[in-house]
Amino acid sequence: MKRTNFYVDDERLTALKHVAATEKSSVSDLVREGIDRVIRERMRGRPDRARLRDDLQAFLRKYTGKGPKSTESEIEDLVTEAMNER
Amino acid sequence: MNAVLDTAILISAALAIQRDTMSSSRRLFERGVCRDGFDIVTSEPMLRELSDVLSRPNFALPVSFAIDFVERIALAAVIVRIQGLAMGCRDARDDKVLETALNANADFLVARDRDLHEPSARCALEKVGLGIRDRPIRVVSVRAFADALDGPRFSPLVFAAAGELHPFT
Repeated sequence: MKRTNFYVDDERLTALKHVAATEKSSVSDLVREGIDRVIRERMRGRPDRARLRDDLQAFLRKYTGKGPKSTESEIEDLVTEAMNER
Repeated sequence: MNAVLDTAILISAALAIQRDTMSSSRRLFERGVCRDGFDIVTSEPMLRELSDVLSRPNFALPVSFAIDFVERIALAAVIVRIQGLAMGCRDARDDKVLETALNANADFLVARDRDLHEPSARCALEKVGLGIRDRPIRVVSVRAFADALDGPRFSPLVFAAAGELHPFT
């Protein structure tokens, strides 16, 4: 386990201490629980790499070369124009 | 390692696929959506902007292509919440990119957009300190990032030590 520091406003810290006291837990345990929840939430439902690779191959087979031929610099010009028009 | 790819890079990748051209942006997209070497980080406002630009009539992209393209990213990416805060970018439309990178604590912001390489944008991302972050978020070009993924310079620390600037692709 590593020690780290972060800022938290008074209101959050007071509420966190209250929850810790109520649940006979510690602020550190609650912070670690929060970190675990964020990681679970953000990582949830992400397909594995093999499936992502298969999906990409299917996508490329379906769409590659369906548009007009262009060079990389022609594409870059189109993108520059589009981003200026945002 | 994770990286925010700006909208221009993804638009460039979409056009390169549709027009069967290989480019640095396309290679980056293909690696990112397979989580090959790095995770793409994005946010809902960034995905919305991508959809909006892909739907422009001048690109003449089929709707199904635009939907599938955005879906590839949404499936593979880490999507963070942002609040639409003003981040001090010269172009306020770029603020969401910075906020996404900061909220994700991204390793890199890969940007084609010159405004994101401006000092005002870099200042927010490269700030380090107690309670902020222990390393800067590096703003790099597509080519620099692609080279770094495979090359010996692949390391945020090496990038920092080398004082990586912004050689535009």
